[in-house]
Amino acid sequence: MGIFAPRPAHQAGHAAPRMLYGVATGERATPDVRGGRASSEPGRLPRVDEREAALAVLFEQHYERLLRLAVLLGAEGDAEDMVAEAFCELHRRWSKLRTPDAAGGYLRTTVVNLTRMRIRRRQIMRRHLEPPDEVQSAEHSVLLRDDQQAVVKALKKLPVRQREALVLRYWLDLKEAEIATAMGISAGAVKSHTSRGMAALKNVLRGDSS
Amino acid sequence: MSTDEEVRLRDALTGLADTVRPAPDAFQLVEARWRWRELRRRVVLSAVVILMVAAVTLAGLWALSRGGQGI
Repeated sequence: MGIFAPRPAHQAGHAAPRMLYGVATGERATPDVRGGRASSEPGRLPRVDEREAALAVLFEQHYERLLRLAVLLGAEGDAEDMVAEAFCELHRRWSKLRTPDAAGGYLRTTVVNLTRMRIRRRQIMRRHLEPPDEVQSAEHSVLLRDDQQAVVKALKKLPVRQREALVLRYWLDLKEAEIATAMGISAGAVKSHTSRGMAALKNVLRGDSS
Repeated sequence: MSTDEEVRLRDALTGLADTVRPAPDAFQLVEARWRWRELRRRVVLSAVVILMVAAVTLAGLWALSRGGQGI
């Protein structure tokens, strides 16, 4: 068996204990995620050679939502790149997933992490280079009402972690445990980021309105 | 009970999210990316295996030639 041959089925279910998983409220796993052929064993991961079909289904189910999540988290023009990277990572680590249901949570966590890293890198670059045009970031907000634009503008001023906590809490409606899994922090830290973020948002909005 | 700020935040986030639309060819682009990376990974792995086999073979031939000279 060469390296180009598909992996044996017994290796498909091997789990890596360090992976972070979570299933968002409202994201239900469908039998189609298992791939083109139906599995006779419930919970059995599809074989590696079926991952292309499974990924196509996952793409249809999650891509638009993940793209919106990346934009809300501040990825701006890099949002499509972030989500594409998340799917590539899932493709690479497909055999390490514990269950097919974990794919949605894994994608969400990856998008959150990649977006945070990209934002931080961009912030460092902006300190040393001239600020870029705001055209790209204004593309999405131009269709909003004035009061919505004020909130979005205030959200951009928040620290990355607080913004993440607010978006996951108030847009995805995730529970604290799910937010903690997506952000890779404790539930207590999630509460702290959420309350501080909301307090900072209130201050910015009141400051802008006065 | 939601405060005014929470309601405004939800409304703004929903409004901003609704302006985002995926490109029509998004799947093709993403699929091409992961397939290219998989191909590159396999090519690199093959090259490493071939190099290791070649190195071990050369080391063995060298050891044999040294042993032959010692007789």
